[in-house]
Amino acid sequence: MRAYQTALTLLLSVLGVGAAAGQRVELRPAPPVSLPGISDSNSPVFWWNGAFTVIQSAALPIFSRGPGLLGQLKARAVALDTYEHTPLWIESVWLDDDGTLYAWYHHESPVCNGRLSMPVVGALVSDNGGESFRDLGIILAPAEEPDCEAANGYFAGGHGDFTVLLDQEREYFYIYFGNYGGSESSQGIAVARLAFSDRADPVGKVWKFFNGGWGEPGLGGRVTAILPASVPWNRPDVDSFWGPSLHWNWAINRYVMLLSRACCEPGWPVEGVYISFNPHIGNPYGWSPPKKILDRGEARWYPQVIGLEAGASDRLAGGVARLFLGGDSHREIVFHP
Amino acid sequence: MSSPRSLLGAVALAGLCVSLWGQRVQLRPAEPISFPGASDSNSPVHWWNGSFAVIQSVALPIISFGPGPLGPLKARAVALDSYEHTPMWIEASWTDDDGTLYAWYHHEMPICGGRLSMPAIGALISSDGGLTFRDLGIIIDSGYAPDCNAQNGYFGGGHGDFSVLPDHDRRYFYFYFTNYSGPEPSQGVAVARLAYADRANPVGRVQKFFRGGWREPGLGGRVSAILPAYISWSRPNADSFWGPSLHWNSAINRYVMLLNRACCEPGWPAEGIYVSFNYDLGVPYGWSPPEKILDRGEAGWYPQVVGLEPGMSDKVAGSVARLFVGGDSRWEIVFSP
Repeated sequence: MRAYQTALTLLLSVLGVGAAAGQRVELRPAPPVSLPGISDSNSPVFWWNGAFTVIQSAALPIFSRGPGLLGQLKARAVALDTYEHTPLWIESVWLDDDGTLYAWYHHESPVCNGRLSMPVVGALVSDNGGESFRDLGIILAPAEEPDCEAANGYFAGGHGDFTVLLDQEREYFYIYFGNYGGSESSQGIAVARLAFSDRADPVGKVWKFFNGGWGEPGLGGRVTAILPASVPWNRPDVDSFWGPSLHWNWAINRYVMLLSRACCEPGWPVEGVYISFNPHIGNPYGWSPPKKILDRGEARWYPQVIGLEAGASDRLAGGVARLFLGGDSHREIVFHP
Repeated sequence: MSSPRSLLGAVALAGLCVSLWGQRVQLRPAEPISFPGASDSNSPVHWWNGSFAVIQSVALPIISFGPGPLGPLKARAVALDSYEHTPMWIEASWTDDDGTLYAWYHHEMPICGGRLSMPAIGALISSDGGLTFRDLGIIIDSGYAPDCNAQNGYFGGGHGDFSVLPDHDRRYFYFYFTNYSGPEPSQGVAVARLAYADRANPVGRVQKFFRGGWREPGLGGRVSAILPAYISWSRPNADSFWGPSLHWNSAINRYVMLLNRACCEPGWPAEGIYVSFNYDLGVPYGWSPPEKILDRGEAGWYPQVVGLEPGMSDKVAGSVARLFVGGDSRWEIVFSP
């Protein structure tokens, strides 16, 4: 049964690459736009009572609100009901039709006597547009113990640096994250999912993608990397994609994933920013082979696309959008079918 | 004992006013600049490792760093060791020669069934330039009972909306704050002081200015308003100066105090922004009569002066500085002897 599933997903993967190969992406210079805060993670965007809102995090979150991406934004701190899971970085959000805002965070715990840390993923909910959040708890964590010999400079394992995106049918939230420990085949970009109906009570309800199925628990549980590290994260010369940033692009009718690539020394130097496409977010092997769109020197951590139209966000963009790197944009990104 | 002091204070006031009337202040339009955050209080400025830093608060503080007040600045949330005294607005700071950063905050507690709140003043300390703070505790609170019939729309009493400056001899930090309840002669702008030597251990060490002396305790204790409310804060048509913002101006060799004036309906509508001068922080009756520099319409909450040269701040400025109102500046403010 497992072998059959693997063969099927490989076949889908090949088809996915073929379908996505036709996409073209163009970067063009644009007047600089800077978000007010430091972006030390993906920076989710949503609209609240007609106002553009972006959450940025550097160990704690702030949110900035204004008339639009290109308008004046004013920042303020986000309040939490508990600071148990700080430091925390809010990386994704989802706004329900009734105005309830769900958010998901990357939390780091110090390990190995504080020399390294280990991220996990948690969930939050807000009923006031992100001014304050209630912590719903940790929903995604690794099975492995910390690897105190890891030489990448930051992490001794863990799951983090992620995006959460809902499928079109509103069946599942898909969590695309970096897995920084465990067996070599599991390290790199991995996936888990949470039923849409479980969003308000998510602890214990997340399932990881492993060997072609969704049968591994989010807390503990094994993963299969859909973009495996070329050199694992415990090595000083680690070579891996990380920090997936996803959106649905209506101009090309594809999900788009931007990726950072760390290579090939400690400290995660940026080898480049890459892009990949997929018609179905629920098909983890459906992503086209990542193609480089920015090279070393120009590339920075935390690339993401933000749509320009009213209602567009980091999850939804059209033919012409903004490419942000670490909270600053100097380029438009143009998607051609 | 207190009567001669009051008389002395009145004489000092009359004498200083004559000489201070010679100061001139001019506002001139300038290229707009905005701090990254929302300013719902005074926003203290300091320099840290050669970088300009401004702390802004809306119930929680954020800190923005950059090359200078003209930017670009990037914001992040301030981390606290304890969230017991939130909501919190950091209103003043002081950097010791060894880099230790002291800060003082306005904390609001809900009273009267949550209809109103009551501010108090606390102290913080940071060893990393303001990225994280340790709470030293509440150092100034009101000795007057809450007034649940207060009609100003926000406060049922308390002490808050303040500036802190040390004198030139570094003997005392002077707290110029607003008192929102108690006998009518106590309401308005009041003063307390803390010995410079007590800055790291300030709880129970602050004394309030009352009837010409400094003998009333900072926790509890009575105050004499140095700029008394024209109409009490308990009334719906409260008419009072509030929110003093002080700096030392090197061009005119005077302390400068900017003031809001709330008048004359609930919700504290800004009647104008005023300026006053004093040779000596330690002479509370030495301030010149406040003169209006911005009228209703142009005035907003939280005026403050920020010096433009390296090393200058909200605490020290020269002849040409920036006037900020609520974190935005559209004017230069020019001080002439």
